[in-house]
Amino acid sequence: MSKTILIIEDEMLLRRPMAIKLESEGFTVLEGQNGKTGLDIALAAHPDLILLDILMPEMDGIEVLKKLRGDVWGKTAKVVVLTHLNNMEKIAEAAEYGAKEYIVKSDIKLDDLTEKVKTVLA
Amino acid sequence: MIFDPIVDALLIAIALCLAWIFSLLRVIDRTENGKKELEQSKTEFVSLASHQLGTPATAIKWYTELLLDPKNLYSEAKNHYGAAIYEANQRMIELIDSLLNVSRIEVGRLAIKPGFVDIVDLSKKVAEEMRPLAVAKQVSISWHVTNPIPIMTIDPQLLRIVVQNLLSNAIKYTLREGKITVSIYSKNSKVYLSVADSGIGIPTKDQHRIFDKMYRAGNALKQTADGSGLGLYLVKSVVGLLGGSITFESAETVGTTFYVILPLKNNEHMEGNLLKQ
Repeated sequence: MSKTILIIEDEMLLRRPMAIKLESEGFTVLEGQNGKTGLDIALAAHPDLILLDILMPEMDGIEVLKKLRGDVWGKTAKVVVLTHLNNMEKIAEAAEYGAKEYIVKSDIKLDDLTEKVKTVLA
Repeated sequence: MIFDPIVDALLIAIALCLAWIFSLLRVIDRTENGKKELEQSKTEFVSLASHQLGTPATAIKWYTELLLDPKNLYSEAKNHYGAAIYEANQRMIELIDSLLNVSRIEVGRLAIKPGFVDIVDLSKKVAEEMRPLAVAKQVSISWHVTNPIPIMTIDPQLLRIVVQNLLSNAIKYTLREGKITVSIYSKNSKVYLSVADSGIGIPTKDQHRIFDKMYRAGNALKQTADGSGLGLYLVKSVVGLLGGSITFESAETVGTTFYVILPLKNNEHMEGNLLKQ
């Protein structure tokens, strides 16, 4: 059975290519267009991995992470944080809530994203 | 009380010293504030460049990867990737243009070079450039032009900045299947341009700051993280340079209309590098 990845990213221009790539690699992909809907999907669908953007309208990634960790299932959910270059403080904050891995979006290719996802899920 | 001349001189000297120290402190304070402002500007710029430029740049990279991937052979998908690349590229161009123009305005290097301009033609060309963005959201743009609009004497590049930013905002903040109406008419040696949208509107509490640099209204921030807060600041500055004025009416969830009034003839020619020297 294919693994399920939830991408919580408000920028459709970034969310869609990640989804297209991961689907082409055989993953089932769910998409949350902001923190609030993303959290709802996560708690309802219990994906195998969440790719979580930090800077988002409605509810930012750190807030999503905090709420996620307050849930029985969410406490141990695997999360990779998506960020931009200057968000190192936020990455450190996310790490406090158990997001051990992060991706600087502009630094990676979609192939690297796939590899990272496979490594975290292994 | 009577002071002898020495005490008198001493008091004057102390007063002068205090005045000098206070003035020095004010200079130091100004310098410190200047440093803080500079640091803040740098931080704002890095944040803007990192997120607002980083997002479309990354989108272009990723969609190009998908285009080049031999597994993606479907032309329909490739059209979609092409449209996304266009949108991302357009967003980058707009942001870079805004940054450059804001910088030019702030250091007084924005030149004004009047030419003969058909404002209807210019506005329709700008709208045509933005058509892919409007089509993607199924937003319609209609025109109310009261003919004839005389040829204006105005800087075409600066007028383009005004029209482009107002239309871009209207498309961005209008929900799917919304409507935008551009109206242009001329009266008493002035040209009246308005851009009305059926978008999210500007909340009353944000309206007094909407032309501030890097300010974005609360509901705009909630809708999308994309936005520099430079557009309306730039529009207001440019309209002022062109000898015009700008106002707006807005109601949250109903829409916004911006009204620009410009002189038919703005013959003022300024070399940018002379503005603040």
